[in-house]
Amino acid sequence: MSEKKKIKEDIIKQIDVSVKNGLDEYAFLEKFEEKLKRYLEGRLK
Amino acid sequence: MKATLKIENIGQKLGPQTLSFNSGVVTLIQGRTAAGKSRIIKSFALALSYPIKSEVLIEEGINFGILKGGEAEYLPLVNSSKEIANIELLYDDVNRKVELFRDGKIEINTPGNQKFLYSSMLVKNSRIHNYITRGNADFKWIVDEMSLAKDYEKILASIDYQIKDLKSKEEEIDQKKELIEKKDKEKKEKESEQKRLLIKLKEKDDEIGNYKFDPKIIKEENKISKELDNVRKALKEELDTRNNYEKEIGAFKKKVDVDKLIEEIKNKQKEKEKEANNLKETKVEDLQKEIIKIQDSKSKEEQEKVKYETRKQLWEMVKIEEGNKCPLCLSVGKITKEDKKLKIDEYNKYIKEHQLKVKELAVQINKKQDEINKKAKLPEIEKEISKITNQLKHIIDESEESKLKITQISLKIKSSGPRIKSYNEDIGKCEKNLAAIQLKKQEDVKYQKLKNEKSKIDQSIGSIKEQLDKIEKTINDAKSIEAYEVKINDLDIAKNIIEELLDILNETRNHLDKKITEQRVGAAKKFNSSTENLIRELKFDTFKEIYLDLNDYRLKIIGNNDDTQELSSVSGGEKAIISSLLQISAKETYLSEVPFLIGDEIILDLDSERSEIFLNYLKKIAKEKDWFIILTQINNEDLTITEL
Repeated sequence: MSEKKKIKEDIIKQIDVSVKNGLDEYAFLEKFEEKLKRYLEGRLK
Repeated sequence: MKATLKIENIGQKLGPQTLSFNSGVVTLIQGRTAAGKSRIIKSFALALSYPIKSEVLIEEGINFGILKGGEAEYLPLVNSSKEIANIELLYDDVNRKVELFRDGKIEINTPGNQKFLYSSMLVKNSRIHNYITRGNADFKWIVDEMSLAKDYEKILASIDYQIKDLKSKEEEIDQKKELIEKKDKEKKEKESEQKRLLIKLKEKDDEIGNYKFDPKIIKEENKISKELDNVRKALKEELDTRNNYEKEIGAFKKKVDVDKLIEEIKNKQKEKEKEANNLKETKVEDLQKEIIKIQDSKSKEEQEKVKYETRKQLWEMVKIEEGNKCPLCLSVGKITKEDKKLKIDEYNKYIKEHQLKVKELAVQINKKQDEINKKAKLPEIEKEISKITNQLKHIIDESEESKLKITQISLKIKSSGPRIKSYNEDIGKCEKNLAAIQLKKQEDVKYQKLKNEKSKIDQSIGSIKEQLDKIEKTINDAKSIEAYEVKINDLDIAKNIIEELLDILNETRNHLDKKITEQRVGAAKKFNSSTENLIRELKFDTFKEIYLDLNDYRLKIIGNNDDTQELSSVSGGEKAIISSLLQISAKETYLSEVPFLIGDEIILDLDSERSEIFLNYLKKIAKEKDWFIILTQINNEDLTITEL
């Protein structure tokens, strides 16, 4: 599976789990941005 | 199931109050205005809904009088003469304790469910009732509040923000690329100008280099330059010689500084001389005589030793039991075993003493022999002494000679001082004269003009260089972009990655859209299904259908003649019916697990036929679901609580 597809699925899974467990908006956004940042760093390697 | 509500200092009533309720029935609280009806239902509402975090629900709580509004001075539920009030609600295995402070602070031991305020309060202040009364058919809020759509929407808003931010990064990249292209063009132009100026500068330099000054000046300059070269050469030679002298002095100084060495050699010499004197003191003949004498003594001692050894052997052979004869004199006497032992011990002692003496004398003989041997080495020692003496003499002579040399060289160094000074003075003069000639050259107008032209070209080159540096910096600054705190140094790569991120975010967005619709539609369908059942159950003839449209979540009312009715056009009584229908439906749909439904006089204020239908339905679901359904009604009597 490509990295892009992997991160898409990962984000969608993270959204559904966060909402189901009672959304903590701040914590969610922090993790979400971290994921995008890591993807970007991975692409630059 | 029983429920006990204990309240203290709530509303106008001071002190504690305990009320009991049964599930499975509808309980009616009646009383005149300010008798305490609303105090009871507000206590239920707070205990079952707190903590309230949603902004719209906080507003709902303020309107209902259970939370302190922003401008209010005190929490309205707390008695005005008290600082603290308490609510305790016990039912099933739930024991919920609420502490209310006058300043608005509320503490609860076990959290309730804030949705209770929307779903389980059939009161005139409820949001559903307000919407219906005002003819507002937009019920999107209820599907949002009663599903997870609101949380998904919050995430969607964040994703939209990220998408907006990344799109602006894309625009920034395009702008930067455009700028780089423009600046690259400018750079090329400036570089070409710089190249042209550098050629011009070289030409000017050649012109200056080949400039023909007045021949007299040049002749004078050449003369002084030659003179200066000669003096510099002479000075260099003088300084080299002086350096060599100083090196020589350094070498001689090492030969002068030999005091320690001389002392060491002298000590060695003394030792050898002492050794030689000692050897000279005694003669070989005397030593040989002494040896013969000691050898005689040694022979005597050996003989004595042998004598006692023989005697010892004889005594050892004596056998006590055969008789008592002395083994030496053969006289007969009384010889015991002890006598034999004593004699042998005595001879052993003598033998040992003589043996020791023999050894001592042998040592003496060896010593004397050594002395004789050493005497043979005397010439060798004397030769060594002579060698040391010569070495000492050589070192002392060399030291003296070196001192003399140092003095001589020092004089030479001293004599070079005035010459060096003179050379330096000559160089100073020559340089001064050359400077004067240079000044004369500078005063040459044509030459001056060439120099000025060159200076202008230099300035232009400098200016272009500065401009090029600026352009270069602008290009370098524009070559990178930052996203998610990561610096990307290649704009094309950055654009590709940003496009990929946008793709990820757009797909995430699609998922969220889908989820939001799913949640809303799901919540609306449940609500519609419940409302449909309720209408069928209540057998109302006023409306055929009341439902939320799944496209816009607006309330649709279909009359008995299949005609669509606008909410704003229905009568007040009909609105009260719709409001009650929706509220009961909302309770059954969204919060059926909390066994409380609280209502004021909305239902009881309906016409007697409708009121009865509703009451019968409420009694039925109270029994079926084992709920506590508590209604209030105003009359002119004191507060009473009865089960219907």
